[in-house]
Amino acid sequence: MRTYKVIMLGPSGAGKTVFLASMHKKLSIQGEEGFFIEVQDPVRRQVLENIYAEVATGDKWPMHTDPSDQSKSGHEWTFRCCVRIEDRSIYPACQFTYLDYAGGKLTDVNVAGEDLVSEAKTADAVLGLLDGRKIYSFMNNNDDEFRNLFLHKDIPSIARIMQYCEAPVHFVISKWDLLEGKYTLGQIRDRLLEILEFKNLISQLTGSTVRLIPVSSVGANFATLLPNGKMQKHSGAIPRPFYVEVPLACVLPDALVKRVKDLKQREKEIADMVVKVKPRFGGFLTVIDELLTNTVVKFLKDNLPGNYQFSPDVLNWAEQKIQKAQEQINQRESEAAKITQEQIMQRDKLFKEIKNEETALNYLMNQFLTLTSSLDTDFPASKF
Amino acid sequence: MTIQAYPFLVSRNRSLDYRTVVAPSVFINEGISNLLARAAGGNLTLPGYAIRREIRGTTLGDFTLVFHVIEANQKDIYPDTEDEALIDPFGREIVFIEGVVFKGSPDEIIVTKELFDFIHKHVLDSYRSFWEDTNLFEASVVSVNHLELNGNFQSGNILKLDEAEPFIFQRKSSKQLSTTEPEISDIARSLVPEQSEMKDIRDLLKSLLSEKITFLLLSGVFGLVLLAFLIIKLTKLIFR
Repeated sequence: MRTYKVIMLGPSGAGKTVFLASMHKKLSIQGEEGFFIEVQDPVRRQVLENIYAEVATGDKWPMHTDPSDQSKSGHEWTFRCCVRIEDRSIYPACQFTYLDYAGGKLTDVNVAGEDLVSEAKTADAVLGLLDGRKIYSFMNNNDDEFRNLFLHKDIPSIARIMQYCEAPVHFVISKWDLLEGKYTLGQIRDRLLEILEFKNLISQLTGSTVRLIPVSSVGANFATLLPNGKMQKHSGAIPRPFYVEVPLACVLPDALVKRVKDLKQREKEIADMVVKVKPRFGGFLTVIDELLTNTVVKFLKDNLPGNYQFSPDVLNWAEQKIQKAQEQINQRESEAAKITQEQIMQRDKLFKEIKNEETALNYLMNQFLTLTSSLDTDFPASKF
Repeated sequence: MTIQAYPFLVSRNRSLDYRTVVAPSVFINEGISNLLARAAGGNLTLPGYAIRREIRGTTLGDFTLVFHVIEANQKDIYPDTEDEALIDPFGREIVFIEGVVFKGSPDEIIVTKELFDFIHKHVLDSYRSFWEDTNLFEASVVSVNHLELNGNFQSGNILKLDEAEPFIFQRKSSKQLSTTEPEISDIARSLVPEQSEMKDIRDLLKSLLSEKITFLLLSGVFGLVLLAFLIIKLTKLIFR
């Protein structure tokens, strides 16, 4: 089973574990997303369900993530993505392991966080959780404690680790329900870019896809921010998680694009090497050079690691994605809409073809692309 | 019988996440006080219980922790306030992970509710200072000396001990600790392709060349066949 690693970097209280519990809740039954996720270990599944139940009911919010190393697996959450087809057969397609550390590991001196860099370096995607409550204070300029924590602790700590990353970076703005309707994602993005560490980080990450994704684990009208800073739940309100599935959907498409881009860069370097030695071998190498015209897909098929081997359609998509980025097409909305339409048409076709893990993964990738396209359409400011 | 034990406390304040607040002086002097925050934790402890966990392999030898996890109360900080849970800025209840550290691994450890009450009072002043500390990044750990646990602390409401898996101490190397700047050797290494990359490049070149050579050989064979065909045709024309 192909497994992709996602490391979550976020300060204490940003909502990392609640986000995972909410994502698990939303995707645990196959719905309009066209797939579902499962946590195979029943004990771990129960932990997530309990956390979500604490969010959804009662007056309290869930406790902090236990910072002790009682069990290393306590920080890892593995979600298996599965597809249920018409005859009720279920096909697992791939799985994602999320590393969820206590926030203090990222931000505090004297708290063991040295393994975060090495984990971030080897991750398939890095998810930086920005606390929406603090962003609200930052945008409002009204709560010095949260504003200072955000500006002087959270962002510098996240940036410090992320500068070592080569994988796609997804900044997830949690608690979007506090910001929705008051600020647009574009406004928040512009303000974030005024923070020197953030701006410098974004300019360092040019080789990877960097996204800003708004999510809310409870959705609108579930809780209200009181003047004393507490979040009070509305009596009888039902949580309606917003966009919690999108960060997961972005992992594989963005990681694949990154891999293909790196490979093409290497191909270019090799081609340059061949051109450089050409004068020495004259005509012979000219003939060879002319013959170095493998199709892109074949080249990718031969050289991508096993985890990133996909059907020719998917590889073509990744290739096109890079070309489009290179041509700097500025018609994101119409492009995304077009892609979405194509993907919906292809959905039924791929769904009918599911007969094993491979075909299930091809279908799943299509679903992921549909979800990422909706993010691009709904929030054009989401991509840096 | 008298036994030596050091009190400790792990908790958080408004801006700093869970960390060691009170630790044995010997741990602080050795720079390993943080291991208490790594070894002690878990869910709230049931009344009448405590958790026992051994720490193995520190530079000072082995230790045994006996602790419980309890909710912090506002009264712990402000005695005149209402009896309510102490919460962090995100509305989550704060816990105290407090207990004692024993040297080695004593065969029989008896801890009582009275001992834990005593420890709670013993560490509260240090916690209050920590709570009021507004430093966003760090706070110093309060050093404590050992207590002599004699008969007074071993009688009363004896707590049942839940045994947790031993904690194996591994000191992080200086290289692992460095997260701010890469070492010069790392930079140098990044400039030179790694063995695996070199192998990839060689494999890639090899595969590209082998395909071309195959193509050339096939072309050659095809050329020979064509030549033979032309010779046959020519011979037929000559001898017609």
